[in-house]
Amino acid sequence: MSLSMLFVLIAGASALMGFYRLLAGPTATDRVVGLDILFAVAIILSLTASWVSGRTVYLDVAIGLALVSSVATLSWARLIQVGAQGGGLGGKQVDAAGGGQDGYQLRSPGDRRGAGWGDAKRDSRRDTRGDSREQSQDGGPGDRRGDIWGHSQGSGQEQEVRS
Amino acid sequence: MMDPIGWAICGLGSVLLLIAALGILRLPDALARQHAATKAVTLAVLVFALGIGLLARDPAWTWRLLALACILILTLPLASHALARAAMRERMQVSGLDQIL
Repeated sequence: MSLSMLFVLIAGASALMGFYRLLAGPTATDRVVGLDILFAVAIILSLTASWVSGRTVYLDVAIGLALVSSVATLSWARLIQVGAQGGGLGGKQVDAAGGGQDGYQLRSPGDRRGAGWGDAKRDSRRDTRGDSREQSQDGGPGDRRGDIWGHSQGSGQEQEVRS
Repeated sequence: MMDPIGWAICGLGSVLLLIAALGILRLPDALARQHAATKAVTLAVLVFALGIGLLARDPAWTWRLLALACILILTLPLASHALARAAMRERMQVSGLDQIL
């Protein structure tokens, strides 16, 4: 029993370090890393709980935690990556009106395919939004609204040129 | 007879978890922190599950722990890969490399 207590203490120390990284991480990826290690600490704690209490229910809890942890980490990483590509959520904002567009435009096609949402889906989104964007063209450089996928509104022109 | 081995393996797993947490706390970069987090944490959880399985030699525990190990081995490299790519992309954006490449 005392050895289990030692395991709980070690897991608590690891959870404190993970909380520090979750709260004070300079980039968004650091926070996701902290979340990842918090999930691992939760899995190990539930394994310890199953051994201490002698019930197998906590093992099922550990299996569920493993599934949720992988899905959470994957989705957060994808969101960070897409945000860093188009300049939307998280990371440093590109302050010039054309800065993000230039960075998006000069990317090689291999990198663009690595975004993972699928090029066909992006093409369909681009096509359906072409008309409304033409009407609101005179928004000026202050018009920096983007959709939740991280593509800024004004970057449709370069995409049309490229494709 | 198997109990000291099981306790020792559990202790090894928790020490690995502590080392991984120290790496997350101390390493200088997001990519390096992700490296410490995913690989060492995977090993720590697997070793801890092995120790618990040696402590409780019961088929109900063994099969559940095997399912946990399979899920971890199958899903954690995926999450690690996506996280590493996000870290690389974010580092390129912060350093301005994505304007060049």
